[in-house]
Amino acid sequence: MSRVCKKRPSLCTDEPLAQTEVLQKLSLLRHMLSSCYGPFGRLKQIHNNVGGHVLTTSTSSVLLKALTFSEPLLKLMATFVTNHISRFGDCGLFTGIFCIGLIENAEKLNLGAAAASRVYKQLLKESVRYLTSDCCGCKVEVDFSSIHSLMALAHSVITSKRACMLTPDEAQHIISITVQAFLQSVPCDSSGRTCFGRTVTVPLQGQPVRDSAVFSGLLVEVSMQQSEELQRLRPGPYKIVLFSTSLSGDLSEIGEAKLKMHTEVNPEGALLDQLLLLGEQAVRDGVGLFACQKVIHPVLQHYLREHGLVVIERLGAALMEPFVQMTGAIMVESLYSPVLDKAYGQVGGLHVYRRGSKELLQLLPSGEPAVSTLLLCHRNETMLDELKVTCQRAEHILRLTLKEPYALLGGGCTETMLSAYIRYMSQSKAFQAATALNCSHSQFLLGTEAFCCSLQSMASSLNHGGQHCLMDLTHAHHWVTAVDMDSQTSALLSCSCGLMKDRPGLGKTYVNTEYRSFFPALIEKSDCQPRLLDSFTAKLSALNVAVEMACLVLDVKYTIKDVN
Amino acid sequence: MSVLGTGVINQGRHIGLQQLEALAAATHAFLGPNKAYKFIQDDASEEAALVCSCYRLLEQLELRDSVGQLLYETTRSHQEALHSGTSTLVFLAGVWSKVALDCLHKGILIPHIIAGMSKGLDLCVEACMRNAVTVEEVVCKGALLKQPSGGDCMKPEDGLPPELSLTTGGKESSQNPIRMINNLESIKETLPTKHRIKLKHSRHFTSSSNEAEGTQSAETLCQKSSKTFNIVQLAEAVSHGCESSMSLVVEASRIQSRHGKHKDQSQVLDVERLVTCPLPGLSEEHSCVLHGYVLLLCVEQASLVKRLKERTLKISLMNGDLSENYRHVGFNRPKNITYVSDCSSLTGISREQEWIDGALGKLLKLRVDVLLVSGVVTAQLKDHCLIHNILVIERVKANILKDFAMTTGAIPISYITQLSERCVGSGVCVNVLREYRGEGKTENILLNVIASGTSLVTAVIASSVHAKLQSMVDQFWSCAYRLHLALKDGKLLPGAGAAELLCIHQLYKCIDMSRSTIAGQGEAARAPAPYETTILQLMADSWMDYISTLMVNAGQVVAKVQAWTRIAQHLKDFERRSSLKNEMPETLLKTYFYTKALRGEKESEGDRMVEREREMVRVYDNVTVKSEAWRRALDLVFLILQTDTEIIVGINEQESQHRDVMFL
Repeated sequence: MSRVCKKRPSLCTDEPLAQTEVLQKLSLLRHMLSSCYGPFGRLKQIHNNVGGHVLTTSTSSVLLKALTFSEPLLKLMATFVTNHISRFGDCGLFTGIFCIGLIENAEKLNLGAAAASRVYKQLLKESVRYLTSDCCGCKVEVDFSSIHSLMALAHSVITSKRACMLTPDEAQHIISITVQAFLQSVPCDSSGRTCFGRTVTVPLQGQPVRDSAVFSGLLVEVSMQQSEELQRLRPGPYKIVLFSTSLSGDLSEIGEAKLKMHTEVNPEGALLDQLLLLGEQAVRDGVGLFACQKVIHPVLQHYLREHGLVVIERLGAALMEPFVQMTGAIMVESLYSPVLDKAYGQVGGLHVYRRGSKELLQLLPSGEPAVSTLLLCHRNETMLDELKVTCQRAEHILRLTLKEPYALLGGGCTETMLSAYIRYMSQSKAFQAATALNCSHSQFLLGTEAFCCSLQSMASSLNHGGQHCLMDLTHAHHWVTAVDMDSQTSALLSCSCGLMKDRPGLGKTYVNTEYRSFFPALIEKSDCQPRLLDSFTAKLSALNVAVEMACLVLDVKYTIKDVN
Repeated sequence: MSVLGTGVINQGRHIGLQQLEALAAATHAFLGPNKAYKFIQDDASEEAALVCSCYRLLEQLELRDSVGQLLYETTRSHQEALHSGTSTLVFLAGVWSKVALDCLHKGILIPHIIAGMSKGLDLCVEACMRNAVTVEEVVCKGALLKQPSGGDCMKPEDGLPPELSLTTGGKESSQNPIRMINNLESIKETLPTKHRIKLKHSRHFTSSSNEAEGTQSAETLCQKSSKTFNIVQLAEAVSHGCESSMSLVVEASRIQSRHGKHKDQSQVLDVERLVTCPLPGLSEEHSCVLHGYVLLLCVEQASLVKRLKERTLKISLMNGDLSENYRHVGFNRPKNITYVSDCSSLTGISREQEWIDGALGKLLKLRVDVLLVSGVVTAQLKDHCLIHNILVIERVKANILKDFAMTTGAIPISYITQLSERCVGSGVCVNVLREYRGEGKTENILLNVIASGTSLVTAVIASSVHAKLQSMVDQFWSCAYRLHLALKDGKLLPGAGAAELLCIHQLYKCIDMSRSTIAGQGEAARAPAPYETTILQLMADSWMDYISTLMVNAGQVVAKVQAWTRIAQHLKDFERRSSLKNEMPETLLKTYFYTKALRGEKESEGDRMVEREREMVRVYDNVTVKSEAWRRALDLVFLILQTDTEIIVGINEQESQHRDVMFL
């Protein structure tokens, strides 16, 4: 019996930001994100309450992917942030927190949506101008002749996720292998057409962190059943063939299409014959390694092994492209035609590693190692998952430096400095700016206040509990003092990013308190190197995305929800 | 339909740690050798289970909150890898949660707590590693203790490894297994030229010359043990009160060494080639270890087995199910296919029938006698096989298949069509061990399938109480893994609380040192963080809790207070000795042994004392198991300590019972 339900009318909400429920949810999300932020960020446990896997994380990409939102505005923001992360890899939490901060501050100061977005956009322009200009104090050039700035960039990413559970020594090890993997992916000679290498991350559970290492070529997990054969590997090079289509002998290719078939017809048998033809050809052509992204029919595997081929199945989509890049093979996407000669690739050699209970097969490149594998080991699944995501982020932002060889000071110093600059500029040019933006003088100052407050609270939300955040009144760097009863670092030695040493007579003020605006002076000739660096490209984009998103959300008049 | 939302619970008060502490407290009875069984009853289904390990308990409880779930995941991965030590893990997770909570109450910041506790554990692990004893030493000592006359010169306290110097650090502790073997080797070589050998590395011989007699006997013993490496002593040392299970393991090792590749090597235990066969209904004395693959089979196959007896058989191995509609993993069944047929093809022979005929034909043609299948076999084909004298065994584990593949030369296949002459192996014998009436009316036979040259060993574990069977199987596996890991690591830790006592000592030493630096250098110098001593002190207290619980559970003391007194005495004693001669506390529980004498039956007091002396066995723990359990417990505590929010996905806003859930 079919049932007809009456369609319910859509739900329309007028002025969503005026509703306390929406504001509550916004502030809940901000709390959640900002408590994840920074090296002492707190973790979130995500589970389904019916005994499913518990996900522990403080990474925005993982967190936002796992959440479902009932409020369309939140959903919109989450999508913005995830898009930003997928492009730049970093600063997801920053984007989310900063954006909600802007919205909340505009509401709190009763600024009015239109004026707020105009001021915000203007200030964003000003910020970008400052950050890209030469007189910017929070930007440093990445020096490729030394490893220091690369290590500092990787350091601030890897130590910012507590769920990785790394001891300082382990963190140092992970940082150095991440940088090593990045350096290996940069081609040596620039003559002719060069392209970037790749780093593939392979997680391995149950082994100690110090077993993590970089391998040239690819590392593929193979089943223990093969271990006997793999003991008798002949020296390379190997001719290889790579299939991206499933060789499991099923009819999955037809998808959802409907088929009518005669009972006499045996499609599986026919397919298997086809597969065996491929196998025969591979044997005839002298292939040494037969690889497939998906499943290989056991009968075909059996046939190939009998003829002394090494068989790798279930490579997974992530490994396909690096595989192609390394071996020069062309992915074979159909099993109905013979493999062309040019589709074959080459592997320099094979090597078997045993780590714990796992057997790993290393495929060595025959030419220049364009591909390397970062093997990550950790004691348990939760920590390994987080470590994997974190290392991939670090690698991503290291790569961004090749496009724009700059980095921003980390530890909140960029935020305080930028806010000091914006405050100084707006106060000195408030009148012209306000007229240009077609808003009142006070509106412009309020907007500036909202913007700078949001920026400064980014710096202060790096610290969780028990610490005071300060800003010095000369260079506008960010300083943290611990106030718990028995801390040893009651005296400040250097600022958060490590570029500046404390000196007597340096005036400081608590973050987000009143102070006389000033132009943050450049530090001339510091003998200190910054300890923490953030990605320039990612943060610049994060600023853009956050402001745009905030303006968009402030502009929303109605939300219309289909409740059917 | 209401929309499923995301609930957020803010854990401002560290509820997670409190939950973990409470959960762990429920498992304290599982610590130590005398494990008490627990009944778990399900009120809804009226089912009950009997458990005696943390892992099984958590498995039965089906905890749904995040902390319970995380604890279960942690214990599960530990259990799967090492098969013992889950009670230590859960206990420590509990007490360390308390440490973390206490620190929070004292106002110490989370990063500091983490740094402090990590340092504490590092100190402990380091101290334990420095004082790990080589397996050879354990065996040697065990041999000495076994000797009744050895009691005069070998007082238990003397049996202390000399390299366990705590203050001098790792000067002598670099003694590695290889050197130890060399050492024993040297005894062997010099022995013919008569005694008076000055041995530097083994304490048994350095004592003095007036113990010549004892020394000589020690030499012979050690010589013997180095040659044959008697696994029995080692097994006893790690049996942890499960003598009966351990004797099965020892027997298994003996059989494996007799049939293994290296026939001369006696210290083998290949857990990959170990099978258990639970046998409900028979009393525990019927537990035994047999060479080959032993399994229960229904009685219908008995006559078939009789016919196959005394013949070398051909074998075939199958991965997956043996049925017409089985497809390998990764095969997607087409969904939208309809089959059309002509009228003429309705002759009555179904596709399945056709397949069965084909399969049977293939098996008969290749004269396969035994078919091992990892999945199940179609009932009809099974019947046919029975008629045609083919023995079919279902649900065979992967490692067993692998062993048969290696020993018989058979190649495991997935489809019967793959079967060819080359895939069939040979050299298998079967015999019925006994017929046996199980629970209810089912009659079974105990069958042994054995391939020539295999070192596969089955432990048949019998119990008349069905509910206990699982625990007994678990116990067997934990014994097997303890011995296996002891051989693999080549090192052991002094057990029965000695390692933990060492930890306390180490922590105290560190606390003293940092205090003295504070006092000595005053305000001027940058002293090590004061919170650190607080944390280390709390950690020492948690070890104290561990040892005292262990002592109470072992029935050694009645109350924890008594245990504390004794621990304090030992620490003092140890302090004195370590300042004097750098010696190790050895077992604090001198009178602590896992003997029946404790639970003493009818012997008189005097007899019991004698019995005690004789049965005195030193207890040792696995290095890997301990350090892994500690590490995992601390990881878990840290994960929960740093968590401030619990997010529940997919719950209904209206139906939610949680009061303090906020919705996104």
